[in-house]
Amino acid sequence: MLVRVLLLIGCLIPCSGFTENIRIGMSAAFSGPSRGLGIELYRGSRTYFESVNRSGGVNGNSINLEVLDDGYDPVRAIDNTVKFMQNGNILLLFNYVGTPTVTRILPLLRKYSDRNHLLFFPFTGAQPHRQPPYDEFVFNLRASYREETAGLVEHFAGLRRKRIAVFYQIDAYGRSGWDGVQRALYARGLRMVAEATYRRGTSFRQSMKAQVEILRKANPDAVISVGTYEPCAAFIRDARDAGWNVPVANVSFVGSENLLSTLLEYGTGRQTDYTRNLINSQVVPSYEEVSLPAVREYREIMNRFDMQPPEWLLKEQYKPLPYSFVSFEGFLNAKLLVEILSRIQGLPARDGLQQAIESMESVDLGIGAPVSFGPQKHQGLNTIYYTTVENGKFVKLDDWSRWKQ
Amino acid sequence: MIVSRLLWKTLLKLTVLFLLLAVATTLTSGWTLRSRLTEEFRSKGQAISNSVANAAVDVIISRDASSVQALIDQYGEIAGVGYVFVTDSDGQIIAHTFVPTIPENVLPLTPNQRSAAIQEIKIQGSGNHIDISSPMLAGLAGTVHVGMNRDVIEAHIRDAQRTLLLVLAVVFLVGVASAYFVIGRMTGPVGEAARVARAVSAGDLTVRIQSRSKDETGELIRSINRMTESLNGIAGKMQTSGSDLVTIAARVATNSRRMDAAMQELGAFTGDTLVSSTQISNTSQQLFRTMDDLSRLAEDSALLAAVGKEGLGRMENTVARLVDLTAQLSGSFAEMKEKTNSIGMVTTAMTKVADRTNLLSLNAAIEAEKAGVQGAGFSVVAREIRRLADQTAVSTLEIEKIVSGIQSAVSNGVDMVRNFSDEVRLSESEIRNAAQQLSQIVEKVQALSPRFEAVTQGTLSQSEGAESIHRSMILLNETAEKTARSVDEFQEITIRLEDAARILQNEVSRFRTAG
Repeated sequence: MLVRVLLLIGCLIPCSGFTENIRIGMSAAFSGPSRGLGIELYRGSRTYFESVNRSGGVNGNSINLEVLDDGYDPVRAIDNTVKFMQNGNILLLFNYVGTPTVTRILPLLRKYSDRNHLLFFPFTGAQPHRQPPYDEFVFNLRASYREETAGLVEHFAGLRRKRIAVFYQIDAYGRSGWDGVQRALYARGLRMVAEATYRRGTSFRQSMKAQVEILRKANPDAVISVGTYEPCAAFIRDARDAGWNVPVANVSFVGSENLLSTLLEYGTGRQTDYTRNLINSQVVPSYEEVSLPAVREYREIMNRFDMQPPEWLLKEQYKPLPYSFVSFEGFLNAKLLVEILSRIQGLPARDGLQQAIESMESVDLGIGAPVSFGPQKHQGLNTIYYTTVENGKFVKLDDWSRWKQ
Repeated sequence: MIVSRLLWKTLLKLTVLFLLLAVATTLTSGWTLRSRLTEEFRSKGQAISNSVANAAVDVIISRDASSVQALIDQYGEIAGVGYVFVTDSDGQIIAHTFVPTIPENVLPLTPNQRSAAIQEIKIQGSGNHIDISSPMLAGLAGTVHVGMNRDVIEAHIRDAQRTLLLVLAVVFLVGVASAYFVIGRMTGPVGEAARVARAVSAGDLTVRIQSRSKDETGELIRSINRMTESLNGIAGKMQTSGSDLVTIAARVATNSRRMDAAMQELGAFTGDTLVSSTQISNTSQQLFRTMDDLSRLAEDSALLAAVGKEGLGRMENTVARLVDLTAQLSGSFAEMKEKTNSIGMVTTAMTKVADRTNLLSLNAAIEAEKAGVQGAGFSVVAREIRRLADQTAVSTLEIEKIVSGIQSAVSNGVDMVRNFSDEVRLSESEIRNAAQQLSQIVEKVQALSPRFEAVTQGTLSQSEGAESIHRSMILLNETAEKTARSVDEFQEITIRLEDAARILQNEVSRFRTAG
């Protein structure tokens, strides 16, 4: 009786019925050419947290996703991380977007290892946080770029497309994808025939004709593109405008729907179909596969809540997507996090997190692939899903034979 | 201009000096900066290269290219670093910062090295670089290459040189300004002397220079002052003479102009007179002819007057006879009047008889009445008598009337004759007067004729006189014209004299004299 009264009084002031707030920190791109990634990832996670909070939270505690914008800039990502670590009681870091950003905050996690700061499910497939010395501070859900690129090389090689060129962002992310392709080719005794780069922050308006010329000169059978949607769309635009219809494969980080909408918008009123011969590797299943329970749930809560980033964060105009691979990944990240937190008795604390997640075994997120973690296994999923564009939509790619040569 | 020329010369020298200085400084600073900065860049590149080599060695061994990339990305942001790339032990590039791709000419740099090296390399699209390489684990793990951009060095040098030149330009301007003032002070008196000389050459002899100095320039100035003063004296005198001359010339000119005017007037006058004399000559000839005519006319008139006088004499006689006749007629009428008056007296006596008879018949009638019927036959006689008396009275009255008519008619005729007689008498005296006057006229006309003759003679001689005047006038006119021409010549000469005097005065007046 007494306890109940105290609870009531305690709850009158700070929260609306919750015992405590679980505060998690997210630093991502909400501005600049890659803002679509940060915004969509946030929306997927935030919408799931909203639905959890509305149905009573995690063991009576609400989940509060706090966001800061780093604009895909490593230095700002470090600043944001320091803010999260020093000010306020942040339980964990969550949903960081980008390889150059994540790669640069890793030493911070190591420096403050005594405070048990962990990074959960960053939106990057790069290698540094998947191997020593930083792998112990980071938990991933998605497969790595190495796996994505290896998968792509394998498929192209199977189609006798062995002359592979790489178009990539000249930073840790691009290098990660480049390295993945290089390794996969080496394993088959092949060599990369050409490479071309662009600088991070390049927009769709800028020309990629020089890069197209460099790669085309080497006459590759396929181009693997490791970048973000605006420059990758610009590359595809300039390649197709030059009459070069080589298959272009993008990795998951590109932001598939943003890439597609950019190309569709540009193609409106023009003769060329810029969406032909496009392959996108994904690390989550398509949100069109409604047979999967997670897809159904995702679609339902996206329809019901559809949470947007706070107004103050959005400096530039952005048109949110109804569904996307990125927001679906955000949804899955949030769902896995809630699953982990719900297994902790009482209010979750930083020092108990690692043990909680490493004890996860065969968790069913509803995507038909069980998720397991362990002390030596800090990556939940390894499956790569391939998609292509048909009639202006991403569809599951099962039959690669159209590119056989 | 002496001052400016001197200044120009100084400025030219100053400019040459500064240009030399600018070139020398630019070259020296460029050379120094280039060598220093190159050295600086080399050591900077070396430091970066070593630091990447040390940091990357662990990562290279674990073969994670993206970690190496993250590492070199940080160094790539340092100012002056053009590129960074890392090769593995096989010389393969495993991470780099090149956009849009690896330049072909860095590939020869990649063979594995065992020691640090510095080379110059030109990268297409981004200029000259100093390539500094550091081997990792003595080349067993690979090599790190750092390209320091020489264009950055050149930009630094250009900046420094620009600043240097700016400072030099400011110093140059200050130098120019001070040269201007110093030279201005030095060449002030000389400039002043030059100014005076210019003024004198322009004719101003009033200028003087204040000279305080006792050196050569002071002496120069004093000499100039003395020279100017003596010039001033000479010019002053010349000016006075000149102006006198001008006055005289002006006066002569005025007089000659007046004379010319007078001569012109005279010419005009003689011309007019010539015309008049011609007219007079013509007129007097006409007059002579007229007088001749008139003289003949006067003679004719005298003849006619004589004839008229005779006529008048005859008319006088006729009128005298008419007066006589009238007097006779007047007597006849007076006789007739008397006779009619006596007829009147007879008729009056008859009237009285008739009245008495009438009265007697009336008394006889009354007495007959008183006698009654015996008186009847008497009454008839009385009545007859009365009727006779009445008839007599009536006849007498008629006679009286006729006599009275005759009387008034005679009376009228007497008056008329008297009037006629009066008028005839009046006419007679008037005719006589007229005859008298006419004879006077005739006399006068007859007396006039010889005078006309005299006048005609006079007119003839006058005409001859006018003719001779006319001839004289023509001669006079010719003489006047000749004189006018002489005066014109004289005037021309005077004008020349005047001009000469004025020119002289102008020349002299250029000198502004004092005193």
